[in-house]
Amino acid sequence: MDRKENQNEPLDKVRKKMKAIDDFEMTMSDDFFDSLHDKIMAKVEEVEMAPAPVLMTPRNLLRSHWRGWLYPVGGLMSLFVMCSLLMTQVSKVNQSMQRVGLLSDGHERIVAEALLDPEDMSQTLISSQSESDFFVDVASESFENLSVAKFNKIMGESVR
Amino acid sequence: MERDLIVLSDLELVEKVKSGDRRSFSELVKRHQRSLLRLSLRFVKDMDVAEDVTQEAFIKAYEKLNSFEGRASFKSWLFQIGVNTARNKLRELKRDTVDVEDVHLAVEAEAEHTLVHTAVADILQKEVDKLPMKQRTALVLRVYEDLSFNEIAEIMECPYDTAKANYRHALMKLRQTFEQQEELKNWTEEVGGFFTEMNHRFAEAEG
Repeated sequence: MDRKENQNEPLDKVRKKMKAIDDFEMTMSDDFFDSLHDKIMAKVEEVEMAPAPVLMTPRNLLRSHWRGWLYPVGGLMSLFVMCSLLMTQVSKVNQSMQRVGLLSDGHERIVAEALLDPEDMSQTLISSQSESDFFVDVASESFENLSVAKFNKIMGESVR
Repeated sequence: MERDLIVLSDLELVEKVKSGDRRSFSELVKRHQRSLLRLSLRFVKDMDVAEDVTQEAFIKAYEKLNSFEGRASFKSWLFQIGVNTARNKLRELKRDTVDVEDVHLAVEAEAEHTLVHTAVADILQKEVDKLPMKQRTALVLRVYEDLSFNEIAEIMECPYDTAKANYRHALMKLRQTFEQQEELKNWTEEVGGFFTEMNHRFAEAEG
């Protein structure tokens, strides 16, 4: 507060100086003003008063009512807009979280799908694998089903 | 009958005018013509033009009186019309730049105290004329008409803070002028002192 007063002090000085220097005086007599008054009233007699405006200009409306209701209503409206925007964002986040949830327990989903339609599922899975992966899978499956005799035979042949 | 009107407030007179009583408007003219003429003269610097501005402002005020709702004082509303009318007049006369000599038309010749005082007043007046219209309006209304910032804001049709900011900016610019004047004065005194001493020494040498 003191700081503000200190800032204003030099400006107040300027104001006082201006007033002191000002030697503006109205030297006109009363007759002059009587004549001016008569001139004005003579012209006023010639004109008609315009009717009161029915609709206010937006500027006047704002000026006359902003303290009353325009600003609170404006505030509520903007709050409403912000809330609706926020809601859409929240629903989007929810949806994406649901998707993430589905992906995280994808195993269960795959099993469920496979039970419903095993053939389709196998094709889907194969199509998602590369060629080399597919052959390795087939090879490992073949080894698992290999009989001991057949294995020995293969091994023996390879040793030989 | 006229005595009855004298005791009425501006707003009461306005209501009477609205209901068709032109004599009440005559009373309003009597009350405010001096201050409006003085304000106009501050802007236009020419008595004839200021008189025209005053007349025009009163006629406009009469025509638009139904749109006056009494939120501000009648004087503020009238000054608002006056300032706008003066501004329009200045725009019309823009090509003819105001000469410093014209300033004297508004200043009583007998009121010129000293040469320095007049010179400073002239310089200051020139600086005031250089100010943007909004700053000049705020300055004139505050310094010379002693109006509050609320009234100035009403007249200038702007928020309170804007009116205050315009006034402050104007004063800050004028403070620079005053400071320069102060420097000039000091310099003149120093140089004057030097020449006086030289003169004394010369006189001694001659003697």
